[in-house]
Amino acid sequence: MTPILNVEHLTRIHGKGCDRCLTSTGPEHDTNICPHCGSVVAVADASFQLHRGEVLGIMGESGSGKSSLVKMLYFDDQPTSGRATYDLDGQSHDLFSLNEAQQRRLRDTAMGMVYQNPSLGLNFDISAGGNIAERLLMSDELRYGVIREKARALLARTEVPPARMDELPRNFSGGMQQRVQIARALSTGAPLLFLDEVTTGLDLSVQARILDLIMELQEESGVSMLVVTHDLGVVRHLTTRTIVMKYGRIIESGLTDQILEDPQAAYTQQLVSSAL
Amino acid sequence: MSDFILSVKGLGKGFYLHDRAKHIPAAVGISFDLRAGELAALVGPSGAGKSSLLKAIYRSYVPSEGVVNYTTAAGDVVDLAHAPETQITALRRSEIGFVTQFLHCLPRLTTLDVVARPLLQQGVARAEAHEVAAEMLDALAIPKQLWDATPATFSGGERQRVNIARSFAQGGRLMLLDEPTASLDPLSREKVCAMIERAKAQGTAMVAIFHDMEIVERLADQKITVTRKAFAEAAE
Ligand SMILES: Nc1ncnc2c1ncn2[C@@H]1O[C@H](COP(=O)(O)OP(=O)(O)O)[C@@H](O)[C@H]1O
Ligand SMILES: [Mg+2]
Ligand SMILES: [Zn+2]
Repeated sequence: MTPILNVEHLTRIHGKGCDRCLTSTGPEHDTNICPHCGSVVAVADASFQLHRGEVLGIMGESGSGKSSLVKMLYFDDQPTSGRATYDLDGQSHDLFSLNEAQQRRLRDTAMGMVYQNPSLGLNFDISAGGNIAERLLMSDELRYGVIREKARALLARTEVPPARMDELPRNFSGGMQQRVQIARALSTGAPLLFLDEVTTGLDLSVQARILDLIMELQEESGVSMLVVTHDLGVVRHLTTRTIVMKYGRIIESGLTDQILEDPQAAYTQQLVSSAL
Repeated sequence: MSDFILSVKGLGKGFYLHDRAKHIPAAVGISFDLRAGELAALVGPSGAGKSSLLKAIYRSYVPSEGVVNYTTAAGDVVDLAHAPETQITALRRSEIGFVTQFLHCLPRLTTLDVVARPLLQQGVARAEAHEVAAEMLDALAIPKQLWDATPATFSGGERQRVNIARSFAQGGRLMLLDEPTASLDPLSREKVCAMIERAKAQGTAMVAIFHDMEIVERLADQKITVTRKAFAEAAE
């Protein structure tokens, strides 16, 4: 079976870069800053596959390059080098060779993103319902009644009270804002969803309920998810396979229970034991 | 083609702790063959590595050495010690079960749904999945009035039985059991043993750890003695 996402040698260097950036940074050099040119190597030579219906975790400390990786796949940022293909309905899209309009189109219709910061994923100047409508309009649904009904159903499914549909998300609690973001991300029925630290900063009980919700929605829809987090609890709860990153490199990957119970790399062992 | 469901050759598991630059010696490689309906009990002193080997078969642990040939329902032989993760995930979903003492459950699910869940995930219809789940809960004497509550609030023993009910509802061709009867009252223990016997009769192959030797004698078709390398060397 072809993976839904195939990422090959993805690299992102901030700065002018030099030919020693990759060989002078990484876990063994204990830095992601090139000592020769001062560039930041956010992601280096990352290769992995996301399988259809799979929930894959990307785990690592802050600054390890998790968000940088996902941003490129969602076209929020451009890679320095590397390749990624997205298999949609049997058709393979070479993500970084598409033109801007094609990228926008793919992102609006066939990808969803939930950011840690709701102000990135939501338009705070329009209502919760409007946020969903906006995304549905981008994917060519133009009938007002259908849009309104869909928005209502989605918000109900993510447990946003229907009475609040016409309120501005600016006034919502953090947990409620994440629910609206999730509803918006799911609204077009995209088969691929990116989640970046979606529960970070929320109260523990709110976190647990949002994770449960994500899990239920994943099981209902079979959507493939890339879950970025520094939180081992999130990885344990949501994912079946996990990638561990440090200084922009993938240093280990495996079944999530194996990563948590029998980590192989020194760094992962330290990460897991310090979380116990 | 062999008629073994599981053929383990020289499986060993050790650990290397980087921060202490320390090797924790492997369990001495174990070997055994298992047919449908047979149960192999791993026996040996505490700390010998029985659970580690069981987890190595399930791939929660990375096996250090050896081969774990598993014959799938489709008749393919897969070395679980080296198979790709996606294949392990698929087998875990449909053919290979693991019973631990602990239940990680979604607090919003009812007991009936917790038990039915693996079946639902396999695509079994809801009514049928619930029927199987009810049968299992009944067999393990979980009172009916608890079926609509979430096990998150249950006692340790109740949760353990819910967990066992779930694993057996899912069934499978191979089940790995790590002390499923530990800390249960005698009546519940008897129910679990009966459930294991029933699964064996239906053809499920099992690898199990029981601390109670009476249960080993009753259920096991073969006993595999597990010793740690350091122990074995010291004893020589
Ligand atoms: N626009 C940027 N310019 C310069 N450096 C950046 C930029 N974005 C990210 N970085 C750097 O790239 C590295 C990876 O960051 P990030 O992907 O945000 O990590 P994570 O999501 O794992 O916390 C960090 O050192 C970060 O400071
Ligand atoms: Mg980040
Ligand atoms: Zn450089």
